[in-house]
Amino acid sequence: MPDPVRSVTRERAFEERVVPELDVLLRVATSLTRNVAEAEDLVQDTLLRAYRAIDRFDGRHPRAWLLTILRNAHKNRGRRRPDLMRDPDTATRRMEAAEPGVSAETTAMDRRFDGAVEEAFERLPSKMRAIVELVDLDGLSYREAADVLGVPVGTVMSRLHRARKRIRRRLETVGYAERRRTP
Amino acid sequence: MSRDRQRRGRLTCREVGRKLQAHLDGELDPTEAEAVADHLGSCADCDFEAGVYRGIKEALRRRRPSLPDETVSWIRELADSLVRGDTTDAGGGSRGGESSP
Repeated sequence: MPDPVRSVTRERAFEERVVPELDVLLRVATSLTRNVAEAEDLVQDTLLRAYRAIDRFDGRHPRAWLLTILRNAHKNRGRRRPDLMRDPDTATRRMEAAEPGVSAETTAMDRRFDGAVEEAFERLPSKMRAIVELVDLDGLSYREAADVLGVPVGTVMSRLHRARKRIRRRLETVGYAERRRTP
Repeated sequence: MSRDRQRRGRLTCREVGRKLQAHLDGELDPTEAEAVADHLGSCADCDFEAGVYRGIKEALRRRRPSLPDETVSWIRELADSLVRGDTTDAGGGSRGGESSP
């Protein structure tokens, strides 16, 4: 028989700490799985695990806590299927299928710039691309991206910064963002 | 702020180059962020670099795919059922064949 007082507390904690993070969880799950149906299953897994564990959660940094649960759930699921995160072809297909959020005021020049950035992004090694995706597309902090990938924050920082430098150099070679600084 | 403190807080272009991306990502502590912002305000070269990296971040952000409405509402319903304490329903499995492609 569940204790009703404990249960109400659990549900309130879930509402206050987990529900505000649903969109982030979905975005990160989509980045990790590269497939909407898989992402739904992964978020469902994460929510059920979070619900069961919330009594033991101290309430600090709910996003980091949830992302760690999501990462573990993803690892468990990965034992049953190949890790799509390392499959650049699948990544490219998903990105091609993705609908870019182009606003009405985006100019033709912006679109060409965006196209050049996209092309440079596609050329990145998959590990670099995964971090750029988590930080720049999904909006995670360095610490949060490190939690999701199970790597140190320093690794996130160095891969991310190197990735953007590569994009920046690529833009320069195709005639954008030419360096004005004297060498 | 004293002149000495201003001098101590002043960063070189090389130092700013190392901190620039973390600054644009909002990952620096307030003191460092202020020092980088001060430098950018008075150095056209570094400010140009900051503009390029900001442009890259914004272009990447614009290519973020939108989440399908159907997926968002399904996850919200699942969360709502957990908030109501309706764990039997919530644990009843995934959407299976209904999932988006």
